[in-house]
Amino acid sequence: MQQFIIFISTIFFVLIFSFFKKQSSMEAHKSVVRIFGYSSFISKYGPGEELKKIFEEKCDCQVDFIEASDAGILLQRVKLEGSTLGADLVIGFDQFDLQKALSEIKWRKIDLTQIDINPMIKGSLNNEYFVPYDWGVLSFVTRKEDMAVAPKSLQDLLKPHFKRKLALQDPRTSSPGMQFLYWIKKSFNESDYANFLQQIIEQAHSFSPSWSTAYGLFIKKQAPYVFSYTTSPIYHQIVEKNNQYQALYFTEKHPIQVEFMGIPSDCKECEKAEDFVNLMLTDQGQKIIMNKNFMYPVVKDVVKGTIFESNDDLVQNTFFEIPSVTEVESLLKEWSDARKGKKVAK
Amino acid sequence: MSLVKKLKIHYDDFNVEIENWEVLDSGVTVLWGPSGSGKTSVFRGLIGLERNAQCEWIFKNQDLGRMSTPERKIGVVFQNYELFGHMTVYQNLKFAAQARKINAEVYESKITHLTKQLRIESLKHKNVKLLSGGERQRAALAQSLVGDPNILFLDEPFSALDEELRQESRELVKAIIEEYQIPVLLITHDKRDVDFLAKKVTLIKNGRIIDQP
Amino acid sequence: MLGRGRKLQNKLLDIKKLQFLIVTFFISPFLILFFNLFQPHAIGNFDFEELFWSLKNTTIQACYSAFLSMVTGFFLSLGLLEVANRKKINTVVDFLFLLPNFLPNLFIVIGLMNLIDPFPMGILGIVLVHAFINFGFVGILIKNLIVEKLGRSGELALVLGVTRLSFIFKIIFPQLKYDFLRIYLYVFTISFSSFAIPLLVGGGKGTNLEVLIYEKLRINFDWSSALFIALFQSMILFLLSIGTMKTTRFQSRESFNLKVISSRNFLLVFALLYVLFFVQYVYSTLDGVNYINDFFLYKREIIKGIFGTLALSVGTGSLVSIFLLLVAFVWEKNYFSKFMLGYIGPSSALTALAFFVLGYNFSFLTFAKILLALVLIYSSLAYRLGWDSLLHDLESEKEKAQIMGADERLIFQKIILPRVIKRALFLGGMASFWAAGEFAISKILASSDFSVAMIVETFISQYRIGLASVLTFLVLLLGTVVFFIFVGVGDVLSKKIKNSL
Repeated sequence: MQQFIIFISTIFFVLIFSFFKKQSSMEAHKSVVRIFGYSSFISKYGPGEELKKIFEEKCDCQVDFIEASDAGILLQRVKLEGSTLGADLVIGFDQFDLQKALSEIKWRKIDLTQIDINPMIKGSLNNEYFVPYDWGVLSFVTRKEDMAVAPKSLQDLLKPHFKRKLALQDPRTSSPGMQFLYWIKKSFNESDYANFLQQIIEQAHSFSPSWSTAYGLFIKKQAPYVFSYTTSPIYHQIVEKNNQYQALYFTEKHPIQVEFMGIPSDCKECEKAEDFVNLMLTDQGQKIIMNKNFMYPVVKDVVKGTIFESNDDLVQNTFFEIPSVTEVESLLKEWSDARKGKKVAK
Repeated sequence: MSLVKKLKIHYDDFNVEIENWEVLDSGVTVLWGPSGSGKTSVFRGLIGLERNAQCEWIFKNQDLGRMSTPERKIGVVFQNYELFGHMTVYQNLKFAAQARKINAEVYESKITHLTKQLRIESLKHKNVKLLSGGERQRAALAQSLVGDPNILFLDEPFSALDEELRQESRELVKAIIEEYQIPVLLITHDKRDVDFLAKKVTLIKNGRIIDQP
Repeated sequence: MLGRGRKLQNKLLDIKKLQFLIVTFFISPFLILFFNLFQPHAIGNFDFEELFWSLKNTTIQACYSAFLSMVTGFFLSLGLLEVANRKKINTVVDFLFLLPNFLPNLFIVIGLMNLIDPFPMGILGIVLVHAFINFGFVGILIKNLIVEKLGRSGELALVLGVTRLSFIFKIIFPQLKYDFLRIYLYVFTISFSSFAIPLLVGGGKGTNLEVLIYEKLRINFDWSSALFIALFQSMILFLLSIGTMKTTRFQSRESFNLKVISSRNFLLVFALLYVLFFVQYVYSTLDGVNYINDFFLYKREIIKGIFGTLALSVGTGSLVSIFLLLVAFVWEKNYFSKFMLGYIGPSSALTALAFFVLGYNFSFLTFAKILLALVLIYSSLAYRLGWDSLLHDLESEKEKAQIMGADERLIFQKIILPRVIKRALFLGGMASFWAAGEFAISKILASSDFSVAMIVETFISQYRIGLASVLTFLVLLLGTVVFFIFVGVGDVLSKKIKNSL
């Protein structure tokens, strides 16, 4: 028995040791650029890995990715850890996190004038600290078989036919959820907005805690319409060779989500972090992000001649704004009130 | 005379195998043997608490082996005088009588009689957790008799008692058996129980009957 | 020198100090967050209306969820009693009914939605999902209670000819009412602090305190309010648990004939429900097989993930077992036992962030922190799953040994350890099973995906749901293997220790 326990313990410690050996041995020499990002971006299956490879070949340094489950947790980590171990670059917060990020963490100024930005998201450069690196348009996505009766406007969503058929996200825990809330806020006048909010709460299939859960319900055919990115069907086209998914065109202007990166002011490898930012903005970097993240590139014309160019119509009918912290907070308050069945304060 | 046939119980490391065994249908049959000899297993097998599909037990022209445990109508006093811990003595007896669907008038008088006879009348409304060993034994005996059993099973009924109490208790049990004229299967490893109560003795060792006069 | 050594040993073994240390360990997330990040002025404009509204919803959801889990769990336990005496079948059946405790929420919900169509969204939906996740667990707990505490009564009742209903209402309910209350509270607690399900199937109205905590953290960066809500939540659950601190005693025999209440029909009904659910589940994951190419594409990561899962699972299980033994060593019927029973850890997000704030975060240390956070959460759950009543039962024997003059170490070695080692490893095995599927804490603390469960989450967030659902089978397999290793080691160790007495 003793031998067995020793055997098991040895295996266990060898496992852990071998598991961390690679990391710590690399920590010994070379300068390390610490990049914080959300998991689907920096994991092996996202664009992060390829960008890292290209960058490390040139910079004679080592890139360490530090992963967080979502943007909220990401900023928390940077805030807590940045001052001790250092954070050189933070990738992956959207316009709703921007003002909060600015008030909670000090950032280094970055020159944004050189970016040849897609005019659709010009507004994303209206700051001195954060660099946009990709963007997406949000709408409902469905299968072709459900296209015939598909909604054409936000008001259509309230029709009896769509009762319990819309997979949405909770704005408190998911950024697409927040986008949806912002979309209806911007699309209606105050009183129509309040009514719409009350009714959509009754109408929806579910308000998932995350985009991925809502999308999962859609893929598993629990709900025929999901609030997602208009580029989602492209994933199915490229990876699964499946053409049955389609994003819906609404008469209201669709919301745009822009994802940003920034360099905290207490960065340790600040120059190299800037180099990484520049790599992400090259045509090569932008293509990698586009193809792995299934989002539009921010640099003008990179999209030309690719499959991402295809739903250009929808992309033209969009709006982009950076809301203030108070705006975000009052949106959430309205959402909470609506859930309680209260009339939303006008 | 009742006949037990093919009583076979298998455990991981122990087997009980009894081909033929005669149990008296009046007086006390003692199953006697050292600890670990399989007495309690035989006891549980006859009650129907262990799986032994092939067992036959012809008792008064009925095959008890084919019947479910409740249908066998056996009165049992377990080794540790099992009683329902959250009930009083009276509630325990009443519960046992109700289980046999005896009507209230009948069981009230039976309970009065039994508690008097077994000297637990003053303890009737006491929770069984508060009883002494001897009192528990008498309460358990009363509980086993209140439902008019066909046969009474006693598993080491005196082993948990003090030396002084044991003889007194044996005498009480003997008196009760004689009054109720009920056949008894007594399981014990104590020679004095055998000497005092037995009409027939069967010796068991390693799960097998080795001496059946 | 020898004298000094002994002194040191005595110091280390000082029961009261160890009790204090364990209590400190459990409340450490609160303490760390309080001293590092709490700002009293932030509470000033706290929205109490929102808090009480969430509290009301959370309580209603948890009450009904626990009730339905208890009712279904009770009927399941009658079915489980049918195989309770067949050791091997019993272990396998128990294990199968534990599975929903382990599957990712999304897959449970999808499975149930396929089974119940249209699925009722709202409170009923939340209650159904919670009950489906917990009823197997509750059933096993009740079955074990009946066998261990009422086994003898069950046999006596059978001999007396007592009917099933009569046994249930006159023996089981009066005797086990405190135990039932405790299990009820256990499920209540689990449902009370559930995060994703109320959002997912609650329709428009689903919300709860956990979401409120998350919102404060994620959107407002408001640690103080998050901590305040977490404390409030823990206090409520602690106060509720005071009512369930009484317990009935275990009995020594291991197998009893419980035909008086066991029911094959109930077992069949629940088994059928299970088969239906898992057929749906397997069927809906079959399309994942189409992505087998992806599987090869990521094989390096997946293989690394398998090792990571094994390390996390074995590590957590071992530490939980050791920790439970330590608790058994220092256990006394004083504030310590009351604290242990009433303690509810803060949400995983807060626990993880508290450990994150503490000291540095790199390789070994991060892994150690994840292990500690999991030990904190799982051992408090395991304590409520029978560890507490086991220790209560050994109390009189411990007293007897103390009167005889035995010291704490001897009592532990000769009285406690032989009786609890098997259960410690079993509960450790459960913890390892949970740890295999864990991703929430790991995702916050670790800097990259190191386990299969984490990879599953990342795949889901990258459209790769098919591949993710196939990988959940791998997680289940790994968890199962480790669980049974723990059970096996527990059996062997228990025999060894008993033989060496």
